[in-house]
Amino acid sequence: MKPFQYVEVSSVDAAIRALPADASMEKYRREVMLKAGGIDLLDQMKERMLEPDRLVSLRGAEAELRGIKADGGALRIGALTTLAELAKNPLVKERFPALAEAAGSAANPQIRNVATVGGNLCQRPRCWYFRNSEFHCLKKGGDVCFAKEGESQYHAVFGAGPSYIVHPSNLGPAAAAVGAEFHIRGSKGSRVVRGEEFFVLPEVNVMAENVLNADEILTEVRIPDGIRRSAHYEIRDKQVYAWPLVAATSVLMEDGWKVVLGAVAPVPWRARQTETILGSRPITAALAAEAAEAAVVGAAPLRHNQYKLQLIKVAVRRSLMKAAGMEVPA
Amino acid sequence: MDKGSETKAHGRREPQEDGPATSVSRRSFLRGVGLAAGAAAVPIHLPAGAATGTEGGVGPGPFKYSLKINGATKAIEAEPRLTLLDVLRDRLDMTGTKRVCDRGACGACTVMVDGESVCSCMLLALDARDREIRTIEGLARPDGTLDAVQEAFVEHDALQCGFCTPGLIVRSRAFLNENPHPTLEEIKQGLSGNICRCGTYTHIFAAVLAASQKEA
Amino acid sequence: MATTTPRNRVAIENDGNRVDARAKVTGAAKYSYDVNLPNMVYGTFIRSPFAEAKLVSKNLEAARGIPGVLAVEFTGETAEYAGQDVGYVCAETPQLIQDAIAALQMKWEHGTPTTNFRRAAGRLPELQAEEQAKLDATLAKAAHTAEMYLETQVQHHVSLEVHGCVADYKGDHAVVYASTQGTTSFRDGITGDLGLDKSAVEVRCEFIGGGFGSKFGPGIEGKLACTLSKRFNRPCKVFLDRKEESIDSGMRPGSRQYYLLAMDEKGKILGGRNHVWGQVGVRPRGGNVRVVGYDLGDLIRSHVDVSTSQCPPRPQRAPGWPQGMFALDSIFDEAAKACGLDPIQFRMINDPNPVRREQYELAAREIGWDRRKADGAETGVIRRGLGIGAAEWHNQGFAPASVEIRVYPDGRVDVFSATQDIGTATKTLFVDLVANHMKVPRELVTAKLGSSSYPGGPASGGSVVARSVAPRALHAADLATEGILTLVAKETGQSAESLAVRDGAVVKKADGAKVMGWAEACKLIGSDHLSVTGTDVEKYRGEGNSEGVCAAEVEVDTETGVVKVKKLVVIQACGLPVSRKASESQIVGGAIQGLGFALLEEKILNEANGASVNPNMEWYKLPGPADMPEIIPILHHPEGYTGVRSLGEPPIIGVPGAIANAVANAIGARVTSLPITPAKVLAALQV
Repeated sequence: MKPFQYVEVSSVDAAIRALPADASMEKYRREVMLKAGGIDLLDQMKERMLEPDRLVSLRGAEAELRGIKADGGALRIGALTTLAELAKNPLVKERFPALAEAAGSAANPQIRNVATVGGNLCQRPRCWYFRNSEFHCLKKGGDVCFAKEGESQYHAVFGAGPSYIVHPSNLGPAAAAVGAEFHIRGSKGSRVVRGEEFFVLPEVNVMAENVLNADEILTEVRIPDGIRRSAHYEIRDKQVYAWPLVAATSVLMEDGWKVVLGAVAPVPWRARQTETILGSRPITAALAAEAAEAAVVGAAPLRHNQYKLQLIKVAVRRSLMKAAGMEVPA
Repeated sequence: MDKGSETKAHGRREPQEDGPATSVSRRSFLRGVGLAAGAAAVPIHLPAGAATGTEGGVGPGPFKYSLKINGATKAIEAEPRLTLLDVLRDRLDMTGTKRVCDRGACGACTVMVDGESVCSCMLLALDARDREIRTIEGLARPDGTLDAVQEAFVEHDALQCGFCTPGLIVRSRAFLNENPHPTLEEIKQGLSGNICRCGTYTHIFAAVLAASQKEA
Repeated sequence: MATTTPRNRVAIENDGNRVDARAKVTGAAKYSYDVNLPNMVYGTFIRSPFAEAKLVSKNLEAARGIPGVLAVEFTGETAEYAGQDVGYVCAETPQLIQDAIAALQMKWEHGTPTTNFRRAAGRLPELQAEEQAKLDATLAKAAHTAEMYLETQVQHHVSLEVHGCVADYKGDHAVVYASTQGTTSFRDGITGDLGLDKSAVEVRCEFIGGGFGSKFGPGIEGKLACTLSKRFNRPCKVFLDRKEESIDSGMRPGSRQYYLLAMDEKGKILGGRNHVWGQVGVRPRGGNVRVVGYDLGDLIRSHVDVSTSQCPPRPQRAPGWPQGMFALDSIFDEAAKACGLDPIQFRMINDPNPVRREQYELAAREIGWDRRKADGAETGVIRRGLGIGAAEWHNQGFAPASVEIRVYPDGRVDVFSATQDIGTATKTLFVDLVANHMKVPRELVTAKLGSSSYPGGPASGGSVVARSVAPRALHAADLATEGILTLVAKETGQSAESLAVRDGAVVKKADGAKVMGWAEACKLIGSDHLSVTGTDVEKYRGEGNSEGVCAAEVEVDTETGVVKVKKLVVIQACGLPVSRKASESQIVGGAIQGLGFALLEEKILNEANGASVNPNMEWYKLPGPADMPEIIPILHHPEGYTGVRSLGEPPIIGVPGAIANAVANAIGARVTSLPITPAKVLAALQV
């Protein structure tokens, strides 16, 4: 890593003051960056993809940012809550099991002890072109997405172009499915963004995967009331500590089923036609199968990831059945 | 000392003075923002009410802090960029903890911080301040007898080259502390952050099961 | 279900633990990567990011200007493969060497590397007229044929301890702490860089974190460390980082293999054709495959190596074998099917090896082969399959070695050899053999290995170490015992021939009466020590090869293509398994590497610039704990197999073929290339 200055702040306000106001994301990444758990940050810094002059650690602000609280029927999850804490929290397991499952299957136990909810949602892509310094790709300011014509096994089949990354967050689909509130605070004040709106397609902004400005901090994710059923289902080749090939989170809300895919698009991908077919109906094997077929409509696979279409259908079907309490293969 | 020249200090360091080689010249070390040479308190926190947040902090040159490792306090003087793994292996000569992937992907560098398993390569050393760090060197009892997990690894030949072994033992110890009566499936999931290339996993499972039964 | 056979438990009268286990479980074991010496400097390489690359610009002054950077040198400006070294850096700390490289701000251009192996391999070559005629004649006689192309990937070693060493040049001599499988060959490779005679250079490797065939010779890392240590008169540490390790420390070549087998109406193979294209590095060498002694009739064989733009191959656990047997065992099962025969039946007809014939029956019993359904007969989403694969290892000859034993006046015994323990329990082997043979307590014996200054021992390759050192260790043990008995005889006025050592005491052979205790006997040595060297192989040479059979059971999720291995029965012929636990560990370890080869591992290059897209442990997928099947290692004792036999490499060989065959059995369609990914399974299922 390049040498850096390091400072700790003990409040969100102090952290915001530490960030460059009105700065571009480029300036943020060059000058002053926030550190939460630091897992994604250190990974990028070791590869020298990121070389900030100064790190501002949120460690001292844990009182404000870490923890899970009930707020009536809603759940408030501080952005510094670790994945391990999220996975085993009884409130989460009771009210939103899919979120606990997603947190518990991310990465590995050691990483989960340090990685945070905020970090997981805001992490940069794992694309092997993005993560290797040999490739100056679109997302690093270059002019090519190497995955498009290159090794595309693990890349997007929806929503892609000009970049073909998939969003790496395990929690993203769950948050998108329930329209979770992303509470954001910056130098100009606070704002709330709901669910999918937090995430950004490359055609909108290729240099970032979410809406945060350089002077903003994600402080909390609020899970709404009204989750009736939920399940998270992942398909993996290697059984642990590997990024899922395809993931699906299915949630029955008051206003119907929400089905969101992971690892298929640069953002958590709502399977809208699937949701239309489902409405609020109870799940049967046949309905799950029919709805799952619709999940691949409009897919645009690359040379090496055609197989994802089949996996999408299976992940959707099995997550729906799992949410309905039916047995599915592990 | 304005922020501008501090951030460029790295590229414009002055040549070494006489004396033992250090990674930062003494002059730029002393010039570092917020550093008071020989200060006892580490000015790592942002001063209260700091307006722009460009003040305070440590680095990029080395600064002094301490770490509590296996019950003993160790004085460290290092740049902020050193990970806990770097400090353990390269500064403290505590080489039981191994560097393998340096990216948190293999678990070989696992230590316990406040009882939790973490990859020491993905933790800045200074982030481990004020915490209890336990490494492989600190698992055996003071009289030298092995921890139950260590003994079980020996008995069940749960090692070959041994390079993954410290990380696996520390992780297994922490895992059993959390889950004292695991099933085989739970053990597999619990150890999923550790890689062994020689292929000792099945013997490791037997060892962890045996250790859990012994401690039951 | 029966698991291990009683004979699995035969070992050299003890179920003892590895002698170095305690050092390893406490973190006390010092590997070369752990060595930190006072005043040490660090070195690393400057490498090309691309293949067919040319350096366009660099900022040498910026790199050299960093305080604490001692040297930045370029040795070239072009590279054939991504990761190839073009220079080096030396600095005071590990961080500074990386700072120097970053400061270079190198800009590179690249041409068009050769990365598409299949395209570079081209079409099946035409046979010459004579061979074509032979093939035609064979086909004319055939009742059944099977024909297939099969492919295996580039795998690499992923030793957890990376390549490197700490070189400590002291003017008139040097000590080098190397991560090596050959202290002697490492030493011989650095005398030039050190400007010293062999006798003044000691290479030490007491513990090593894996090598798997990639750590013979000093490599560029060893030579650089020695050069820098000599130049600066300070110890110098050069170790690769994980990315360098992944792209420039060798690999197992990939392959494309064509088979055409022709059988008579009884299923006997008459002949056919086999052509192998080896996917190698920038020079066309090292890519051939090996197969067991199945009777392949008049098979016409040919092989060619195809250069691709990557680092040269290095031997990797059973070089050539897993690739070769994956393909041959796959085509065997297809041939069996063409003949309407069960795969084991087919092998009984075409495999003359008597040991394997016994092992097929044992494997069938252990895995429950009678449960096996016809290919594709399984229904349901999750389908089970069983498959079989074969292995062998020729125990020919002995690597040069001599073993010194010293007996001390206090009764302790040290055994010396320059060979190393790479995790194969070699130290334990020596201790067990010598203690058992000399009839003294195990605790008295210490093995001192891993220094080039010790009596010459083999490099840890070819699975030759154990069987080469064992006879010499036993010979040395005989000499040591003789030496002690001679001293006792002189002291007590008896003949040495009438005495023996039993249970740690010197006794009269005739009636077992105790003459004196071991410690007392050793005091007669005097003030120094008794030293003997064993060199003989004849008296204790073993007999027998190291055949093996693997039976695999898999479950395939036919909706997702995910394959889970449920059980591996890995039978390994051996003579005398000295340490039962360690012997079983070798088998299990080989099996797990075979599983990784079959399902997960693959080095992937970006086609346009030759850089690897997965030079790390995130995307180069190694099997982890949750990928583990039940693994049943079986130490098999064929009639007449005696002495210590090769055990390190053969266990990997039969596993990939067995898994591939089990998958084909489960789904009724064959994946013909490794690794068997969900995408490939789905394609085979035409989903």
